Amino acid sequence: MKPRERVIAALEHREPDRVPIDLGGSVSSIHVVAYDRLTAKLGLKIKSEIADKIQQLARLHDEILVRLDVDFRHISLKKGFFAGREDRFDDPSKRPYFIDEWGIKWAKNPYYYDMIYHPLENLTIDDLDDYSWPDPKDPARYEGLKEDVKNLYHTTDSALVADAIFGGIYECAWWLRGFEKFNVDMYKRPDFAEAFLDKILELYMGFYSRYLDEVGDYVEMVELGDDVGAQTGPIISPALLRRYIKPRWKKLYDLIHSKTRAKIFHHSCGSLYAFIGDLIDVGVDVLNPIQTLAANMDIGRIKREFGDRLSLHGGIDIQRVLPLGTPNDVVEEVKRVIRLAARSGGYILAGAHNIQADTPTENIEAMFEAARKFGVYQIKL
Amino acid sequence: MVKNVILQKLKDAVVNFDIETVREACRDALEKGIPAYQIVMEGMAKGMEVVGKKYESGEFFLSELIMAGETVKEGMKIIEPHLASEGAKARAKIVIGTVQGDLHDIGKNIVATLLKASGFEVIDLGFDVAPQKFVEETRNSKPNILGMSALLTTTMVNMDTTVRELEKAKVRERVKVIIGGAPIDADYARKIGADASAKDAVEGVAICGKWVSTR
Repeated sequence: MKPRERVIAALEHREPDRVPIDLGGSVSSIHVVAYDRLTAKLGLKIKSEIADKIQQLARLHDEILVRLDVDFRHISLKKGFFAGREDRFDDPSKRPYFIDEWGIKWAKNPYYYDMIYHPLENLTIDDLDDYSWPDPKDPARYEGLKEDVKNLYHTTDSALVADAIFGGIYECAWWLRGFEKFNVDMYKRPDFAEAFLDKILELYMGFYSRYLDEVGDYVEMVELGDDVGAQTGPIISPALLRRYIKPRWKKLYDLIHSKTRAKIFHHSCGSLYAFIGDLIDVGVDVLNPIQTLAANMDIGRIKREFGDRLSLHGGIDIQRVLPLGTPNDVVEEVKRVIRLAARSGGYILAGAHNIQADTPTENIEAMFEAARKFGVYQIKL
Repeated sequence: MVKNVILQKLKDAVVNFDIETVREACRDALEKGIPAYQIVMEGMAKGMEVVGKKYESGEFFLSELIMAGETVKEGMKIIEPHLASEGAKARAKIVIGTVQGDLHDIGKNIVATLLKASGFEVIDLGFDVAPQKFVEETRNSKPNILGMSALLTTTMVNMDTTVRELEKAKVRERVKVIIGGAPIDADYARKIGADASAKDAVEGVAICGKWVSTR
C-alpha cells in the first residue's frame, strides 16, 4: 500500500497493510539535539536547522523520513507566528529572547523557550479592538504555499498534514493574558473572557479559512491543539471548559470541516479523559498524543470506549520508556501499544509528543523498526 | 457566638471564591475584635482545607486552586497589617522559590498563597533563585522550612546543589527541605537528601502543616 492509502484507510477505521507511522509537525517530531545524534549515527552528512524555534524541533530531511518509514509529510504556513523574530539579549534575565507576532516574549532555557511576558495582562474589554493583532490575511504566510503543497501531493505518495498554526484558543488566551489572570477572568470577568475568546476565535477562523483555501484539497489531516490536561488530571474544570472553550472549538472545527475533507487532529497533552466526549462532540476525528503516563489515559481503555468514533495518534511514551528504557523496553512498549490500539485501524503510531533531547539514538531506531515490524495487519500480538 | 458565624461565613466564602464576602467577613471579624491570627486559622485556613479536599477528590482542578489563591490573597491584604501589629507569631516560617535557571512559578505561587492562608510566614524569593541565595536567606531569616520548585529535568539538579550548599554552610540541619514540581518524586528527594517531596500544592501544604504541628 502507498503511504497515503495506508493513512486514509486507518483514518477511516479500516485496517491497512500496516499501522501508519508519523514523525514531524509540532507535536510528533524530534528535538534538534536528538536529531543531530540520529543523523550522525545514520551517516547522513546534513546540517540541521530549526523548524520550530520554541520547542527547538529539527527540520526533518526526507532521507531520514524515508529511512524511518514515515508515511506523512507535514506542511505549514510560509510565515508562521514565530518567523522572522531576531534573538535579542536586552531582557533583564540576559537570556536570548524574541517577541512573536502576538507580542509574547519567549526566552531561551537550555532546551526550549519559555514565555516570560504576557502582553495583554492589562488589557481591558475596551482596548480589545485596538491591539495590534496578527493579520490573518498577510500574504507572506501563503505565498507559494498552494503550489508547493499541490506539487507535493502530485509528486509524492505521502499523506500530507497541515500543521498547527499556533496554540489553541484557550492556550492563546492565557499565553497572551497570563495563566493565572485568564483563569480569574473566566471566573470573575466573564464578559471580558467571552469577548477576548471571541476575538481570538475570529482571528483563528480567518487564518484557517485562508490556510485551507490554499491547502485543504491536498491534506489528510489538519492538526490543531489546545492543552487542557496535566500529568495528574485536567488543568481546568469541566464547567469552565464547557462554558468557554468547547463552543468555540465547535465553531472553529465546523468551519474546518466545511472547508476540507481532511480529518481534524486535536492535540492535548496530559490527562483529559474527562473531555474526550467533548472533543468528539465538537468534531474531532483524531486524538493525540494519548500521553502514556498521564492519569486515566490508558490507550486500551480509550480505544475500547471511543475507538469507533476517534482515531488515536501517538501513544509511544516519550517521558520514560523512550528516553530512559533499553532498546528492548522500547520494542516491548511499541508492541504493547499496537496490541491495544491498532485493531480495526484508527491508530497512527508516533511518539506521545516530541522525541526529547536526551533520547538515545538506538531507542529511536528501535521504536521505528518495531513499529514497522509489529504493525503489520493482521496484528498478531 | 457571632464570632463563629463570621468565621464560618469567611470559610464558606473562600470555598466559593466569593472575594467580596471574604473582604467583608475579614473586616467584620476584625471589627468584632477577633485576633487576626484566629481569622486566618479558623476562617481562611479552614476554607483552604475544604478546597484541598475537593482538589484531592477531583471536584476541583488547578483552575479552582488558582481561584482559591486569588480569593485568600484578597483576604490576606486586609488581615496582614493586623497580624503585624498584633505581633502575632506565625505558625512557622518558610522560604520558597523556583530554582536557578527555571522561570516556572505557577505551582510555587499557589503553594506560597496557600501557606500564607494557613498561618505561615512566607518569604517568596521568586524564580531563578541561585543556590547561594537560598543559603543566604536561610542564614538570615532562620526559616523552619525551605521549599524549592522546578519544572525542568535540567534545572532540578539545582535542588541537589542547594542542599549541598546548605550542608557546606552548616545550616542544613536548621531547616526541613521540601521539593516539588513536575520532574520531582520521592526517589529524587531521597537521593538529594531533601526531607520530603510533594506531588502538588495541596500535598505540600499538608506536609508543611504536619511538620509544624509536631515541632
